[in-house]
Amino acid sequence: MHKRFLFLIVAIAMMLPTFALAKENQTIIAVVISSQQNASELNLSTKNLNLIYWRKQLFWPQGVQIKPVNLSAKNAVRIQFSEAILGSSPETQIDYWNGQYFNGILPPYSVNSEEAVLRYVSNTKGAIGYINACNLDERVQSLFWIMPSGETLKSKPTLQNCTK
Amino acid sequence: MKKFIIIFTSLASLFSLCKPAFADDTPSWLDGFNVGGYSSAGLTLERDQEAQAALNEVSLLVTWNGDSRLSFFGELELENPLSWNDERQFHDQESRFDLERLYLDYNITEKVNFRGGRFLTPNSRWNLLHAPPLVWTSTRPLATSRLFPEGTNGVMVFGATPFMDGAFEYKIFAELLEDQEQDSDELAFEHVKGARFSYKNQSDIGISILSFREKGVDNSYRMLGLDFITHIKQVEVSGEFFQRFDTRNKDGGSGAYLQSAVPLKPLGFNNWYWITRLETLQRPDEASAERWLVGATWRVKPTQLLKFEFTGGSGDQPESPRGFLTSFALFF
Repeated sequence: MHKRFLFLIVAIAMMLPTFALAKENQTIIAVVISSQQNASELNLSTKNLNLIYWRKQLFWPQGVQIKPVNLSAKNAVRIQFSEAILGSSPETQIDYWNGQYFNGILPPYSVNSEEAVLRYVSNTKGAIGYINACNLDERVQSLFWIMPSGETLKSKPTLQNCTK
Repeated sequence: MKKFIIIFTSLASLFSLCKPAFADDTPSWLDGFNVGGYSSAGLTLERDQEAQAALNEVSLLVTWNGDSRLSFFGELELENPLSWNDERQFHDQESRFDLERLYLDYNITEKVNFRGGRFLTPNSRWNLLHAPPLVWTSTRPLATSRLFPEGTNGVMVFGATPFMDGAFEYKIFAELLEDQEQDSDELAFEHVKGARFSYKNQSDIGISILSFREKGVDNSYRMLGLDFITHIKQVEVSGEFFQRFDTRNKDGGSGAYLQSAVPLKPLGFNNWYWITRLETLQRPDEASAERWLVGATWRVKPTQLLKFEFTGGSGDQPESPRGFLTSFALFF
């Protein structure tokens, strides 16, 4: 009996880091544009971000084409962004994007790494993207911060557990 | 026929050479071109009729987005390029080109865009998304093709704005030019104008109002359309309802359908969906038609559907044969 109880305690203790890890997997996401871009001109709200990533708003207020960029569909940051801003996971959006394709609208350009997002956003006119906030650098500026809870902030939160 | 295929393949290979613009490249106007398309083929075993097989269509979608406020979209369809039945064997006598859509869009402000050209009449969800790889069934609900014009040549103002937690979209349009060519089985309309308002969130809902004149019966109508699509757990439920009002206070006709797509994954059939549909159509001075449909559809890939369905009901309608149908549809 005593042995079984001990075994249970050890098993639960082994599982605890897994639960903690699951929470840690959710990162703070920074929504970024080029550091050369005047952010105040864009007049962007989180609700506009929803339209931009559904490709229902295609132009910035000055008439420049919006070029949103996504991480690949299985990327954890993409999934977190998608659920927070679009209210669904990338894999459930297939029908929507097929319908948009039929009407001549392609989904956001997709890249495989956050470094590729940084390069695309910093070098492409009208581009907007998102990355793990820990990976921000001087090439881009952040417009919003998406917290693990899904809440969006306009001011920079305290970044924890950034290894670089 | 050969000529058509040559034109199609030449266009396709020309545009497939174009690639999307990357930041490091020097952009040229050609970089903005994208070409794709869709196709479907099927077999129909209609009640009391001979079996028929056909390549239903090959459609080419061409888009152009330069680095300006202007963009272009076109859809050129080769209808029934190849058919087969017992009597005529393989033939291409029903083959014809159809310019389904051709328009220019101009962005005026972030919430207002202008469209000029030929576009799908924006008064029904099915009409706007009718491509075979986008719909669960081989046949189209009668109410979405026998009550209003499917295409309009004219102008449209459209846009989207955030509303609550979703997106509110509007489309206001008017016909400027009547169809110059008509299929023999196609209904003819004129003086088309209307608007569509839709809201996208977890569910999509739309409301459409339309005014037009139907040439064959020489009557003017106003029409109200309602449509929705939602997911209840994993089950997709969608439906549309249309009511026409005759301007002379006679019966204008009406129609509706309700459809569900139930995933069969819990039964071990991954990517298979059980489809059920009920529909009704009432046109003035015609017998009413009812349809029921049951079937199964396999999503082979995200862009490919294989469909099997049984259809029954009352009234003969060439667009909705009663019997067994199967088809395969894909985007390319």
